[in-house]
Amino acid sequence: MFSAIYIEQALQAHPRVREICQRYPQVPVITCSHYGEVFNRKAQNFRLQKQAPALILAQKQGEMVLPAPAGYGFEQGSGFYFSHMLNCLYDCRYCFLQGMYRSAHYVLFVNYEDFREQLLAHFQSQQSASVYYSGYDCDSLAFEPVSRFCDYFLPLFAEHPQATLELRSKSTQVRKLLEYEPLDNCIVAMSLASEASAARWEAKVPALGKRLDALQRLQQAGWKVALRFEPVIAGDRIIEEYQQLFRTVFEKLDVDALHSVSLGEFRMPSGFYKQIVRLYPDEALFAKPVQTEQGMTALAGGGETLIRELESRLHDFIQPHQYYRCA
Amino acid sequence: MNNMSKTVTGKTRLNLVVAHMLEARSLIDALALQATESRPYKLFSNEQGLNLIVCGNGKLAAASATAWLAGRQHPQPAPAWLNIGICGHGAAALGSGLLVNKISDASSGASFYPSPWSGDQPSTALITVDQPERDYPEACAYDMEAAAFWPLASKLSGIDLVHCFKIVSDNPEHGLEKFAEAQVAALFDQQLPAILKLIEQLQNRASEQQQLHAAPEACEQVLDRLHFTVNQRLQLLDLGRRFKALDKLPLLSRYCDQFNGGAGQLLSELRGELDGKS
Ligand code: SF4
Repeated sequence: MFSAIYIEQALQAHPRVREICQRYPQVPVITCSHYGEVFNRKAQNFRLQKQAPALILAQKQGEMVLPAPAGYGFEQGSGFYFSHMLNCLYDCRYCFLQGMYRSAHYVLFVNYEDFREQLLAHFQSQQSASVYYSGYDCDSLAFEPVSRFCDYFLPLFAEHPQATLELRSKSTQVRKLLEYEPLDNCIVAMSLASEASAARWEAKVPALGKRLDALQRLQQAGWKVALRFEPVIAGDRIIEEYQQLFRTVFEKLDVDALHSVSLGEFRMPSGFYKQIVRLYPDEALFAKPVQTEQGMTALAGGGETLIRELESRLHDFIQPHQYYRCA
Repeated sequence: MNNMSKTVTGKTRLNLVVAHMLEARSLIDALALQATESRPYKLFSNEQGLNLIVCGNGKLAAASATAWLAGRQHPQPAPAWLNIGICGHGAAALGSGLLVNKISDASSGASFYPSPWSGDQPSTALITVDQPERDYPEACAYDMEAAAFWPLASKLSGIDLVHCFKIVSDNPEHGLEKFAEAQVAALFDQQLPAILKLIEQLQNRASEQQQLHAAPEACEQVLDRLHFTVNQRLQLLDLGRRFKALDKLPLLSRYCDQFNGGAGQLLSELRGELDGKS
């Protein structure tokens, strides 16, 4: 599963580190002083590393709970995110992480107790209910068998109903969630793309049918489920493809029970986009015409008209109050 | 080698840096390398892009030879580098072939991390020392070159295409005093299959990177024919990349082959083709 496990020296005796290493006795263990020595180096090739990623077990320092980017989530304004992990098991060609990080290795911050402390302080400092996103720098659930994230963080949020947790994922790893009583303040948000887009650009991501099965099981168990139709990548048959996707999805799930549904276009900071083009010069997606505005790059041919058209199709299936648009 | 590597490895460079002629001998034979230079370093090469330099013992020698070799080669986007040699080891069996996953410089305390390898080749941490290590205080490898070779070569080529492979020649049970130079050839012969496999994989990786970034032929030709400013050249190469990614190379050739206008006009026509505007 991993080509190596890097461990920050200070963490060698950490119980979470020992437990993970015991599960992978064949994987070489390499010590380092600080994860940045491996992860943040210049002249790394994300694409090559993705062929044999390593796991880096590290300690997160400094601010751990940060304001979510504008328009990231449904709360429209007072959302926060925390990242117990950097990078993802999957290999979506459009993923902005490829442009954001120099390395494709997975970083898992094992000092959950420090996250807990900062989250608790944050909960207390908030005047009103707030939303905490997990899954901005990674896929929240895909790594669950290694990270045991749910075991630690679900009970924390269960004790603090004023704080909502969104787990954003493309994974079918819901077994752990199903072992728990559903939490009213936890939302499992599944990112979905049309089957054509997924086949083309979402390497290693579980098939749509399997993900819908997982969502259905969650709904049946009483968990709140949300849908994130993103990133929409403009193409010749995009409307038909999404129309088909909407039909498939809404036939399978309990639409009234959906917490929220959103649409978001393919766009990312221009610096990330340029970096990704350098990594994948052979990818047709990055040869399409683009437009850059205010430091963000998006495909030409998408934009407001396309999103409005898709919104109108989407509203054939859901109630207006369930919808928001990703910025 | 697979078909793809046959078509591209002819030009893809892999530089082998070896401390001693005794270590080089088996590789020179196995890879059919021919002597191309004798001073200041012994250098051997073949048609497949492989070069082997005999650097001598120690960090200074390794760094100087690496820099010298890089300096005399035409720049290439992603040449691969491999340091091969014998080492002492605090725990591994004699004759073990090990990729290096961490290099520590005993004198400076600096550490370097070659990227983990995807294959099943076992790996080890390594300490580069200034004098041969006779006590093997840690369960890792000991050599005298890697801490100078790796950081330099990885600056020249990128971190993921630079590796070190070591063969254990002495350990606590068979200390340096029992080691005879005559054993080197046997140690290398025993590890040759692993070394050749590593060379092939590394060279394939390098050639894939090289192919990815190679400019389309049509761009190269038109760059020779017309005058482009530096900025226009970059624009042309980016447009060429897009034609290639969209599988439109024949169309690119049609635009470029007969074109006799100015560079700006060509760029505008190519952009018009891809973006639907000129
Ligand atoms: S699932 Fe999300 S985080 Fe993972 S590669 Fe795909 S886009 Fe990136």
